[in-house]
Amino acid sequence: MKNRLKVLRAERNWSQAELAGRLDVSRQAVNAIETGKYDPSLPLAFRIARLFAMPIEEIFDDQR
Amino acid sequence: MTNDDARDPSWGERNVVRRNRRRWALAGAGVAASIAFGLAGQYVTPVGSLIAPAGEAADAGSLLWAVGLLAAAAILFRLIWREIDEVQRRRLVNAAAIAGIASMVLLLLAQAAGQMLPFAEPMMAVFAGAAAALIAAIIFQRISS
Repeated sequence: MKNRLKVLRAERNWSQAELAGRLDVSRQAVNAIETGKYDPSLPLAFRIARLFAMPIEEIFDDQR
Repeated sequence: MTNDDARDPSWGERNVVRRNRRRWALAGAGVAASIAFGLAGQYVTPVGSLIAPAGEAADAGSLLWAVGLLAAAAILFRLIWREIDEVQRRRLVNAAAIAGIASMVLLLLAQAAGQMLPFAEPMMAVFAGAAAALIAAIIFQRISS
């Protein structure tokens, strides 16, 4: 599943560690999600959506 | 995360530092517990002797040591499981699955090889092989991500 996490993070000038800390996950988790190697659970996807104040489907896209 | 936290540009990185500190504390507790049980183990009967001959009671000190070791391992595992995130949990489950499959295959091989194996304790070789598979799987997943 593709996602816009890297773009959204860059727009805020956040490092992977900064985003990881805000989501309370490891930096490796952020990296795995950004590179599409891991699809987050629904609770984590909701946390990500809340952090960026966006609907989940604007961050994650299973069509592309 | 509070509103104040959200406005702080480096709140997340500080949270990571706190998280890493907790992990180092857990690792330290694991090492300390290993040393403590290792030292205590010098004064108890080997674990293999825990199964007492019929009609005899098991050595109380050894039993206490073994139960304490299992309890400490369970508590430490529970704390680590709560501390790690879902990606790390998934990797740990994957690694455990690989170690389980490795142990099944190694067990069959050990049974088939029988007396030809150069080990005094073939089951310990199976255990070591499964542990090696577990560690290799964890390292591989970490490197490939």
